[in-house]
Amino acid sequence: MADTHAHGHHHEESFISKYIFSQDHKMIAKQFLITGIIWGVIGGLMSVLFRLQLGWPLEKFPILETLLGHWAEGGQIVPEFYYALVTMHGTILVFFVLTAGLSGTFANLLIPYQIGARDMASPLLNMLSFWFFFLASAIMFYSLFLPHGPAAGGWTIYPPLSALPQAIPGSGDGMTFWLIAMALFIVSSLMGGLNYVVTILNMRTKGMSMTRMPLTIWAIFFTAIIGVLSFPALLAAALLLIFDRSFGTSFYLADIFIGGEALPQVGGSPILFQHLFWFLGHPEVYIVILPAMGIVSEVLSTNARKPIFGYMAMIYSILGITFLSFIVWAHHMFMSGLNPFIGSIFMVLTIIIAVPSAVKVFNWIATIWKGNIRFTPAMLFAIGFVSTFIAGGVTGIFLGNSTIDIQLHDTYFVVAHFHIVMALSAIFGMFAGVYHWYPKLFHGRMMNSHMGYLHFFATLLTAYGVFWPMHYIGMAGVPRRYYSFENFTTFNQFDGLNAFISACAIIGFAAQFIFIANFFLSIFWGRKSKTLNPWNSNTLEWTTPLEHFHGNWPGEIPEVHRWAYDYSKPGAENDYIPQTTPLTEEELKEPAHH
Amino acid sequence: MAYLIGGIVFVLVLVLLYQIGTVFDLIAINKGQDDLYEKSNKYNALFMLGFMVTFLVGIVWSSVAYSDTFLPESSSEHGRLIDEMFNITLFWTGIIFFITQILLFIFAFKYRMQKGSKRKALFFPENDTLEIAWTVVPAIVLLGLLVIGVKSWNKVMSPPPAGSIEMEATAYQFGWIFRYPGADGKFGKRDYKLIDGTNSIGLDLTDEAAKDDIYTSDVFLPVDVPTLVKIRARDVLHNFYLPHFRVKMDAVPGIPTRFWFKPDVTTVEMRENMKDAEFEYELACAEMCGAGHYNMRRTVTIGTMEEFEKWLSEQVTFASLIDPDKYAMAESTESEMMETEMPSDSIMVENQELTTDSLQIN
Amino acid sequence: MSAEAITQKVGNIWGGGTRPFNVRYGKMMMWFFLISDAFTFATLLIVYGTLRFSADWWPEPLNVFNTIPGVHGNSYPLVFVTIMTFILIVSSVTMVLAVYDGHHGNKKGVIKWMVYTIIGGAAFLGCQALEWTHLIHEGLSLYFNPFGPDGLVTKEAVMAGTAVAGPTHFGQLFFFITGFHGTHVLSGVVINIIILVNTVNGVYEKSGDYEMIEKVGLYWHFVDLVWVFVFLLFYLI
Repeated sequence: MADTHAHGHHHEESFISKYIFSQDHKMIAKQFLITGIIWGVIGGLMSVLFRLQLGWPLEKFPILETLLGHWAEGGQIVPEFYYALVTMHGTILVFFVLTAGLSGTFANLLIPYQIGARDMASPLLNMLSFWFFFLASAIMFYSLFLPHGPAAGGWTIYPPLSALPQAIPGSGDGMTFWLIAMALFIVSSLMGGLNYVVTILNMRTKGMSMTRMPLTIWAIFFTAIIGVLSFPALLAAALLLIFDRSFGTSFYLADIFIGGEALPQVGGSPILFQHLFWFLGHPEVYIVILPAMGIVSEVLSTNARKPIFGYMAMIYSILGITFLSFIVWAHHMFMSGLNPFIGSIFMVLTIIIAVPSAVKVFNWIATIWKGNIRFTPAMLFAIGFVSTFIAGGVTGIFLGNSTIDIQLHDTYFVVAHFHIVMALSAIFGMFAGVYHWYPKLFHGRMMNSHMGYLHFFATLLTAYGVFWPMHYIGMAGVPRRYYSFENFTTFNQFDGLNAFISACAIIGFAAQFIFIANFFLSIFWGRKSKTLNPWNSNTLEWTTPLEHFHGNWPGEIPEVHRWAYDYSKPGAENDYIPQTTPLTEEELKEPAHH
Repeated sequence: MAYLIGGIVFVLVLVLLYQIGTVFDLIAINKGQDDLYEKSNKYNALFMLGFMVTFLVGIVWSSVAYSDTFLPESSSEHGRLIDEMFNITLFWTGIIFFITQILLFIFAFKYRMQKGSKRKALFFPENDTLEIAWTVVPAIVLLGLLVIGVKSWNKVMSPPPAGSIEMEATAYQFGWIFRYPGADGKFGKRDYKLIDGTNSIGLDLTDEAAKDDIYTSDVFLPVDVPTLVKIRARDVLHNFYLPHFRVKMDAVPGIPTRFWFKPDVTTVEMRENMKDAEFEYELACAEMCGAGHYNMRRTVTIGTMEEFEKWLSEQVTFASLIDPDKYAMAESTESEMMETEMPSDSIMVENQELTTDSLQIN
Repeated sequence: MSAEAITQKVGNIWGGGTRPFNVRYGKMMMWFFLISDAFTFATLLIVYGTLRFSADWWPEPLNVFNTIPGVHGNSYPLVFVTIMTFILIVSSVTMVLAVYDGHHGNKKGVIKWMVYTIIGGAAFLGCQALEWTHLIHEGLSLYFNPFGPDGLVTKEAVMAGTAVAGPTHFGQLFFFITGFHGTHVLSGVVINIIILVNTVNGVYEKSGDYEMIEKVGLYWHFVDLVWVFVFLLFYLI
């Protein structure tokens, strides 16, 4: 089927089929990326708004009333809106930016390019995947402007809070729209995931054996499998929640007295929902982080001019993480009344995940050891990724230990942990990917390097400035999702630190516009790369012509003869040997990696 | 208008920044280097090093500077176990954290591509010994942490010892209702369908055990006595969180949960330790429960057994709140403390004042 | 033998440039979709198990599903659902035969067996509709379960306090899960009809490739298989 696209580039395409309902993986990648960036700005802006409240709880900002009307009466955000903001910030960043924006962009761009395929197995399904995502985005965006506001029960939508409009205004229409948007999102993610898995298994070019694939592809492969297997749980959980909300069933509801009346539902279990949610929710964090790991492996190796260290160990560790990600979900629920024995089993399984994660970290560090490092903006972000992944990873060992979790659960320590290890790391991976593959996205134009450096250091400093102090606040027992700490003498002593965090958040958010300007201006003004392969990289995508057309390679798809990481190989003329270069006689005699 | 102008200026600054960046890029390229990165590599490597120093020194400095805002040592027995576990984990992960961060940034600096250098990267794709070493070593450290972790978890989660006193906390949007079992030591049955304006927890007064159940609006517990807290929720999820006692457990509608702990520092002792006469132990909600989530504060007082018993005897029963005509009279004959029949609200307020007064006298 | 030749030989399935096990993308996608869908059903059945075993009491299936529409009396436990199950399994057999004829390019055979399969699916849906109607008529709904510990009761009696109702979860789970499965059967029937129309129009004859029949066949068998689990959990245990 896909082979029929081989000569498809000759006919003229209309504007709509080229830019809107395109079935070309490169265009779909750009659509995902740009939608993701827009969501990123919206989600980031939300964090600035609630950081204003947390940083300066007693100040009034008249501009907020101008912008938000009754949600910020007198220039101060009202609690209902604060909770809507944190809920939507989480939802948007986790699902719309770091799942669709990250996986959608790089899976679509890199799979056909790096395995040597003309396009995805099913370009039509691929296009539908984006448009379902777009529809989900549109509905979620619309929900922001509902009279009672968007969903406000936390991104984890725990019932009964999310099930009862009496409990919080956002659980009315806002929650309904949230559920519809997420159902569409799940469909989109399923379409994408099926396509990614099948394309990788079935459409590799000649010589591209599984163990010659770049680690980006391995990471995306496992990401897609996790998505295909874990989203169904959320789908089922969400359908049951819809029934509880709209048809009066009692799957998650029991013995509730609210708004002056006792509800008829009995026998349901809110804990059941948490199990179902986290059966998706925990693998979801690996859906977010694995593609970033793949990108970072590729970028580190290319720019250190050194083969990735422990290629097979990297694959096995991703495999291990994938497997373990399905059997650790209940560590989010240590304090929910879970049976302590089950809690201890989940503690053991959770802590085991640290082993493959540590292996990956050591392999990355070994990769840059004795390298010949070229600090492209992508490389800077890749190194930043390793730093944040370590910083956030070690705190996971605290939280995975259910004993310590008694104190740290739902405090700012958790907020610090998952933002550093998942949000920052994944977004750093995404930035690395965008800087690295920009010439492939936009016809050989390069992003502005010096702006990239500025962006990186501004982001790294402010990111740690935001999230590092949260550890201290969390260690002092301050709970997360608090609109204000003024009522508690135990929690109200961090005004200075909170103001510092908020200042860093605002500067950090502003610094992202350096990237956005760089991204959009470079489409038109970026200098053209002098060669097809500006980073002297080994992988296949750099053998394609600058101009995009449906089918990627004008003639035959090149054959692959070696793995993707022959950098600085002794005896070779250059410090890189593209995958398309046949093995020499001497290399054929070696036992090792190709 | 001002915002519009501000926006335009912001965009112009970005465009300007872009152009300056382009100039830098071009200068680097035109200086005869076909590879832009040789020029900027030195500065980026130095910045990396500078960042590392700032970051690591900042961490050490700030953790020392903020150490006195952290929670004081735990006021409960099991809490010290948690704190100890935290410190052990902090020690080991701290070592790993500093070693890996330093290696990462030092390598990034040291192995930068240098102008004019003919150095090539080392072709070093794998080494099984290293791989095994850094699989096994973290695994052993983690195993150690796990063994201690599981042990202390089992200890904390063990069944409450004999001689524990019991209390019940019911969370609602947005506050708490506390119940002590009264003289018979038994909690009466409750049914959520009986909840109304006066019967705040749906107590079933046809149950004999329910008749002497005591209502309180704050918590008072005796020191050095294990207390089992039975936790219930009336509407949505809440969480019974006592930061100073390292106690945290969700309140789930329809599913009772529990947590037992042994407070061993009284409020008075704590006031002396903290040199803060105003100090109160606080109860907070730690599971998002709606717009008033941040506002579910109650105080917890720890006193001697005698103080506790005195305080308890000054509280009112649920029965007298639900049906004052029938039960308040009986109450006053049973209990000497309850001398006259009073409207429930004023009783609560007065009793609270009484409590604090009696404490200050002590 | 050179190293290259060895890699070629070892890696011939996964070595690139070829489809592993010669499975085409569509079929493989269907397999992965079915695994995903199996997880959805598994989740729902786990929910069923959890809620059922946390209930104090659960109605005995023999006393609930004990009638045949159109036949008087309630002494036919599980007869009707056995007929339904039989119909669905037979439709799976006819689907196998359709796939078999597809392999041999036998258009007439494909059409014949697809028609039987569609009839089977439609009959199953019809039976399900009858069963639902009957249960609703007896008083089962999302809010009320007339199958109490003391036999069939009415809502009025329960309101008056003279009778005890069964757990409402029984009806909720029954309608939700059999409804969810029924939706799958319905979509299967619709897809089968589309494929049948395509077959009649000679779409697959022209392309010389009846793989589409195989793909919808996989879906159909899956739906059948899921029913076996639903049958087991709701009607037998």
